[in-house]
Amino acid sequence: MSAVASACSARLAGRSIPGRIVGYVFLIALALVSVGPLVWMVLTSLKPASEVFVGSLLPRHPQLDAYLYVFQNLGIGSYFLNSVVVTGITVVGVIVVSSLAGYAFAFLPIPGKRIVFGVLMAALLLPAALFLIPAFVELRTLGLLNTQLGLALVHTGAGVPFAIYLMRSFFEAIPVELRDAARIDGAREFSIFLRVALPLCLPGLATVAIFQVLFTWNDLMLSNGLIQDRSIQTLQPALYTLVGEHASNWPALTAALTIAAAPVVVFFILVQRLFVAGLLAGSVKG
Amino acid sequence: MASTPAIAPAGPRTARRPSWRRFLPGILFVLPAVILFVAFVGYPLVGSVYYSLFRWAGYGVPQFIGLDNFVNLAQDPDFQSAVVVTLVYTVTTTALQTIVPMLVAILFMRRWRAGALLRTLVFIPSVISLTITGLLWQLALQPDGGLVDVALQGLGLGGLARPWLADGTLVVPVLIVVSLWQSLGFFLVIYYAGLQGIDPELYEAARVDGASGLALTRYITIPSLRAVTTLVISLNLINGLKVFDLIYAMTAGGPGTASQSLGVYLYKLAFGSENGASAAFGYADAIGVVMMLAAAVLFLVVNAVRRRRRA
Repeated sequence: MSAVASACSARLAGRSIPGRIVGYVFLIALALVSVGPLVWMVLTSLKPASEVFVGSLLPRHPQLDAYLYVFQNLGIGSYFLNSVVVTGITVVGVIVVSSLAGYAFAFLPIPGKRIVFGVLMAALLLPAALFLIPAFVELRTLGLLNTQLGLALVHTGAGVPFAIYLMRSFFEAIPVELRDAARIDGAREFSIFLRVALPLCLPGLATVAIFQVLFTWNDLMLSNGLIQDRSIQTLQPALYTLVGEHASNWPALTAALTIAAAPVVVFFILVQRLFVAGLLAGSVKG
Repeated sequence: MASTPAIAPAGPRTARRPSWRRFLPGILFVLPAVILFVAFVGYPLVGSVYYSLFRWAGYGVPQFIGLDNFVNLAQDPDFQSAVVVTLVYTVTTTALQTIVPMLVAILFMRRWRAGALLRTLVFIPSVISLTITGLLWQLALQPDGGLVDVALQGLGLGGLARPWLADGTLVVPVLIVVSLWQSLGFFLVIYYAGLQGIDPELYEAARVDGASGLALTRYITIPSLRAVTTLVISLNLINGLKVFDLIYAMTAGGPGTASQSLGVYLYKLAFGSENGASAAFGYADAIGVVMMLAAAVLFLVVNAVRRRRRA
């Protein structure tokens, strides 16, 4: 990285001062436009209702009433927990089944391996809208409609192809000799997987988990369609409903949006590097 | 997404086993994932093709009507406008969200003070859900107190303020800009990582030959990013075709049907009967099938382009 950076900066060392000023102005403006609306969201959530529509950006009398209101009157805390439950079940499910499958696709003989893998990859292209309605009917038949388990199962099924794709490329990076050595020692396949291969692929598991958190936590369509009982609804559909019902209570709405956005923002700033590494691990290879 | 040849290292012990025993571990390892996938995605996918041939409100006995749903779609003005909205949205977001992040990433490669901080700030919107993005911008774009109009007034451009989301001709462009706002950081990070994989010696050699900065970008940087660019274009095409969350949260397809994409139309037919109309599962699934065919065509085109480039 530094090599390229220095090559680039060396090439630009002679760049004029005005050029650099224009560059800074552009980049700072870009950063402001990126976070400006989010800052506005937080600032609005701190305003008393009387200050919202007067057109000043900063709250004159900042207060946390809106946050109390959304917890006490709008039940944001329980929607938040519902999202944690659905996301938690999904992430654990996806990690378990896709690490096993990714290992098999990397190392083990399977009849029709390429076809099965190809079908899974083709499913990556398809919009959730496509299987939403039949999934709705299926969950209803199974008695899993309007349950968090049902929603999590559909999320898991939908998350499996991408997770297998990532895990396979992480497993393929393991030296074959290491695996064969364990095999000659008489280890069974499952213990090779668990004791030898998996510990070497913890970054892969982390990547899968990060992406799955993003997909599941942020989903609207499946979450809104497959759970219509408000008491067990997840965060995104609940936010959608709240904005419809409390359209003019901007401090409450922006407080709810802030509560929903903040954990994800903090989490992703922390794992940003891993996130990129994981994405590039598989994708750019081809 | 290159597929690797199947690796089947037959150890000394495995070679003597009958073939089904040789396959047993692999099958057992793959089975849980395959079962979950088939049960909750594969089977429903097939189901949507099946239901598209029926008139069905979601309860009672589905009535087989052959291809009537597709015939009706072809004459449905709401479907036609959804196709146009989806096409315009997909093509424009793909172009913008491929070119802009690439240029910004190249700019970021120069040495800037606080470059990492600025990059992180640009990255932040991309982890926020499209639902939150849509709801937030719905508020920010409202007249009287919305951030956009307040900011325009602050800049002395108050004359530009308008009811952004109530204007049928403005609403799709506004959605496209918001989409760029949200996704710029994500694609920027991908390009930025791709840029770091370029061999510095390429630049050295070209500079010795007297190439200018612009020529380096044109003849080394952009061609070296080909794999990343293909990935970004593919992701954008897929996301554009299935766009739902952002539009549903921001405008719900309105005003009228001015911003109603195929995904939003499908969803409203199936679940969003605001005016009490009965659900039309079969008809909605016919839209799903059209989207599936469009995805297949896109996939074939992208693959053909990739293969030709590589040859």
